[in-house]
Amino acid sequence: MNDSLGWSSQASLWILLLPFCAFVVNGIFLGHRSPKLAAGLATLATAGSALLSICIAIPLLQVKFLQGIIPWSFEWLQIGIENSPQAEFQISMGMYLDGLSLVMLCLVSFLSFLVHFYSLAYMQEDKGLGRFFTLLPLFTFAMLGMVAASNLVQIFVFWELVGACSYFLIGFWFHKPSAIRASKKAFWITSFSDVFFLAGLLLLAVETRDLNIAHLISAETIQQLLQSPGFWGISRLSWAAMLLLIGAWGKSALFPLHIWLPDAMEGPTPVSSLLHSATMVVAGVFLMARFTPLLQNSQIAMTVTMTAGLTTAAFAALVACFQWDIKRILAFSTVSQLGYMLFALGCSGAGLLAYQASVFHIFTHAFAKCMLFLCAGVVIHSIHFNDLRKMGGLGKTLPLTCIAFWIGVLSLSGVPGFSGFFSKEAIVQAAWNSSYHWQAVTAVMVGGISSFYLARLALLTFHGPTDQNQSKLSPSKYKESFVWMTPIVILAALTLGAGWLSHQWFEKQFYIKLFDSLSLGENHAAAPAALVYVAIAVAGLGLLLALAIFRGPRRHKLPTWSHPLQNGLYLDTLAETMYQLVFHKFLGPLFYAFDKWIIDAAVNSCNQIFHFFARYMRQWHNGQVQRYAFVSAIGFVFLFIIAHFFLTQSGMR
Amino acid sequence: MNLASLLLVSALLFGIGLFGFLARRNIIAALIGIELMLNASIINLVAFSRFGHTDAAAGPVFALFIIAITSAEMAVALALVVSLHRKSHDLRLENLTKLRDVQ
Amino acid sequence: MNAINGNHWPLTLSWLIPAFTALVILLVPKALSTSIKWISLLSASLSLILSIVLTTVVLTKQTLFDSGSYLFNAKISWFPALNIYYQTGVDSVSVLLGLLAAIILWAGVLVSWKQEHRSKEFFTLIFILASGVFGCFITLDLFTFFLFNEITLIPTYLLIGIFGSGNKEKAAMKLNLMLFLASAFILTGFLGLYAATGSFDSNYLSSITLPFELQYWIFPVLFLGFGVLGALFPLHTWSPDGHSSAPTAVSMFLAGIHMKLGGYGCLRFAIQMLPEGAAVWADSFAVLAVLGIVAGAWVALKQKDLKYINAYSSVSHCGLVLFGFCSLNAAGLAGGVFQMLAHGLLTALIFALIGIVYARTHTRNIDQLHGLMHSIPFVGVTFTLAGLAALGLPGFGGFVAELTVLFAAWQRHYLLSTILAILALSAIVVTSVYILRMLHQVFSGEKSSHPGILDATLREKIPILGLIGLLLVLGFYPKPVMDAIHHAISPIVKALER
Repeated sequence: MNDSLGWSSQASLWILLLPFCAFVVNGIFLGHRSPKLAAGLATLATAGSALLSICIAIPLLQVKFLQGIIPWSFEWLQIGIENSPQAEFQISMGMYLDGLSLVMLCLVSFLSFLVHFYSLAYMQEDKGLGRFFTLLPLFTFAMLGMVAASNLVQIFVFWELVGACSYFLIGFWFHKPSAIRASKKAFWITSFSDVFFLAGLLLLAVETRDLNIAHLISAETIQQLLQSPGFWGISRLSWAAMLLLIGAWGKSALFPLHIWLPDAMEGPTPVSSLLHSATMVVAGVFLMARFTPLLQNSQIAMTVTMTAGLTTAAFAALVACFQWDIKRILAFSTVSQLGYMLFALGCSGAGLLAYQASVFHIFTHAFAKCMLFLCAGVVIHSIHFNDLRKMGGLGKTLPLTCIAFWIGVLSLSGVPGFSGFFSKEAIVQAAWNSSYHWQAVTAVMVGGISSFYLARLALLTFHGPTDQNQSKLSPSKYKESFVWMTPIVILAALTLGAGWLSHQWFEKQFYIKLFDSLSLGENHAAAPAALVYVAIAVAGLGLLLALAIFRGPRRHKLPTWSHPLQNGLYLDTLAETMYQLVFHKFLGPLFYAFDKWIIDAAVNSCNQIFHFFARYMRQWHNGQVQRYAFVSAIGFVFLFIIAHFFLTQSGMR
Repeated sequence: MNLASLLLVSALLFGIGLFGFLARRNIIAALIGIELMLNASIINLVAFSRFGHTDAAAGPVFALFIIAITSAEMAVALALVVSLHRKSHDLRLENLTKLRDVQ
Repeated sequence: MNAINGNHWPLTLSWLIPAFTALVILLVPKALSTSIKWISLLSASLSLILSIVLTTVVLTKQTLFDSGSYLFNAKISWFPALNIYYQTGVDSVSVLLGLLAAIILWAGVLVSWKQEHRSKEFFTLIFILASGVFGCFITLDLFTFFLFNEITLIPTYLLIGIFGSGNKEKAAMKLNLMLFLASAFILTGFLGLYAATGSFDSNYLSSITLPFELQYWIFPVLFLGFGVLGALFPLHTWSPDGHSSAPTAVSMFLAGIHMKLGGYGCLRFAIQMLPEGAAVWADSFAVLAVLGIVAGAWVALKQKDLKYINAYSSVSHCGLVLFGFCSLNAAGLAGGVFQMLAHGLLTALIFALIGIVYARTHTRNIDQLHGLMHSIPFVGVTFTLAGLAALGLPGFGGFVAELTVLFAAWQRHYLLSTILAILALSAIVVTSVYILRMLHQVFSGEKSSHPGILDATLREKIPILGLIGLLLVLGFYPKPVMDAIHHAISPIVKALER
């Protein structure tokens, strides 16, 4: 325990313990007996956790500290023997508090609390209420444990736990085959990339023998990694960085491993809001951000990060323009924004600025996207379907939701004044500063596309004529109750204000102070102001285009040339085919046949060999004494000759 | 008379007995073959004893043993033959398969 | 100290209690099947308590002794002419495995409470089997070990052949013939050592340096023999057939603890006594072990029978044990032992759950099962947890073992072992595919294929929750167990470094 922290070292433990206790109590006692009580307990626990995080974070963020604080830690595992040539390897678990983890702690616990609160109403009629409020605190615990982790192994442990929660929550309605398929898909794709993460972890473990984050990102470790010989012409540091990146690739749904995220929308909407847009999917970005000092020393990893991020951002934005499902559009939007974040991280030339921009975008995007999903939840709960083609004119019945939704849309579009503007601007500037000029321009264009599809989504949902399907519903169905709207309003306020608030604050408090010690490059000259104006203009153009197209009468037919984009370049089909081919058509049957027809057959054929010889030998044993005697006479003569021969040879005669 | 000629007689007798046992199909003839082989061995025993290759008493004692055992054996065997003859009127060896395992 | 050293009775009791129970059950009339079960439960509880006490004593007291010395060490002359002793002694590895055996025995008795068909013979045989297994873990004499090992085989044959399901006679025959083959290898190895040194004392044999030629020839013989028992690829085929045909409690015991005798033998006899031989042969066996990990997972993917899926999953997981041992460093040996513990609990848990499903639905074919989560939610939830434990989710014991073993392999800085570690890593994906495929096929779906069946009763819930709880304990805070294992293996590591 660090004495200088006083009460907060104790309190920081409870940030994690509160949701965990809620999970245990609900899982064992309350979940199936009194779901209502379980829901209340979970919400209270996350509220406490959020409160504690904020109380701890605010004073700590005022202090200038050169490296992370570890308020508590314990030794989790020790491998190897002391005083032996194979040095020992210790893994400890604990909390590592620095700017990044403090911001993430506050963000995760706060959003988790809001979503819990929202779910009190949203899930109240569901049969699985108790189960829901068992899994959601578990997720909160896991996510908090991950962002505050003091050790890479701890990150991995909670990373997997978060993945398991995501799997359970996507397949929450386990009676729906589509939900089950989606949950399997999500788990398989992420576990595929987790294998690479684990490989990177092992590589680092073997090289450094100490996976504490403070040690891993220290200058000495980086020097050591850079100096140790690599293989295939790539340094060990680059290998580790690349492996971690692939690990992040699946979790953060980068192209082409993004295919699980749109399907994951089969889960309840609060889950989509918390896990699959605001917090869990940024785990990959968080991992990369956490190890930025390491990554910055690997040019290849940086380039790959940047390229993958930009490709993902552009691709997902294009696909989102041609979707009809309200949640799928938001999912593709999430994929696109995650691409932005990694794109920013990859702009190594900009040094600190890139890092700042990326973390800032995590922050602003989380508020906006979480709120958009909660609004979508209100819409879906009112009309009971997700299809945009059947929607329209909902702004009249759900006015507050409509306003909040537009705030989110404008923020993510990068309209000046909203929080998204600041982070997007920072990203574009970071790219320009790293002399990635073309990439910066592309990012600006993608921003235009984003504003187009988001505006399209808002227009089709809340404006225009009311569809006849929903006019049949009674007006009482549309409700903007207190419990629903409170989180939405809070998030809307944050989306509006966070930009002003944090733009200054992030620069002054968070970046500069914390990363003095890190060997990140200096900021170069700022990008030309014209770039910002161009970005604003492109975003405005996107909005106007959407207005022009979707104000008028509805056309529900998409042009033929957009079919590949509607289907996400058929990547899902491709993945499905590959899965079938590899697991069920090729390798699976191959191993099965090998085991059955070669190994097992060899074992069974031993039996056959004995039978064969037995059948042959049996013919001599026909029961005729005379044959036996004949054979034994011959045998005797034979033995006699042999004995005679050997005795003569050895001179024993 | 020397040992070699005695052994030759004994070997011939044993060969005839072996052939008789292996080749004849009648059970009595086969028994006679066995008897001839035993007698050949008796000649051997007595011959070795006579020419001092073993203890002087050992050969005749073994010979007497064999004669006694052979007569007992013959008594049992012939009794079986007689009862077989009563039952089946068939003394050919290849047909005596009652105790044989089922194949 | 004197109560601990030179006193063999606590260890002798551990195999004497089951043996005596088997006798007592034989004397009880057949009609009193309930009292037979209560006697069994009582005896299993006694064994469990004894094992817990022993484990506590060894784990707390072993640091007072030199590492590598055995506790409760005693040597009683048995066949003086042949230099055979009844020699006992435990360290933390054997005592932990003994505890695992006691836990699984206890759980197995509870699970087979509904055994009505020839219950007297059933429980007698189970306890003879348990007696043999306990005996193996406490003895340090090669001959006595072999004897106890043979004792386990006879009840195994009868338990599968009489009480099993499916093609049980063939499975029992296959299992026994292959295990006898394994015994032949083991005996050859032991006799080879005996011929060279005139001693069956493993303690003595590991303290001296045997000639290299001897080590070179005996090591593969012993490792193969124990490898068959530990389902080393490609000699694993007895285990899917045998474990799938066996009744639930027997599957639990065989896969959970009997298979571990193989790993235990590899560690205690092959590697500890023949470190130089191990250094030569380890890479070849590591290749086989990884082939087992990979092939086991892929074959499990194509299986339809729940028990076969778990049996092939066991092959895959046991491959990890031997792969760890073949790394020949502290991390690998400790990881292998840890995996034995974790996998023992896990596979017993899964077999118990499959037993419950089978008792309710009378089928184990996953194509005939769906939506069971609606009718038996407790089994569904626990099965899902067990599945996640099987695919190496952190928080369960398996992950710790996996991490340690892979670290050990990677640590060798050696191209082959790195490639093998990567191959073993790739099996994780396959594992997640077959586990989730099985879980979804059986438990999720619109409605249950067997509506109206009863969920697990309290008697079934207790062992299941206990096993899950232990897996969680191993996964949440592995340090104490791992430290204890390290203390026991440090002399082996020293011998290997020599």
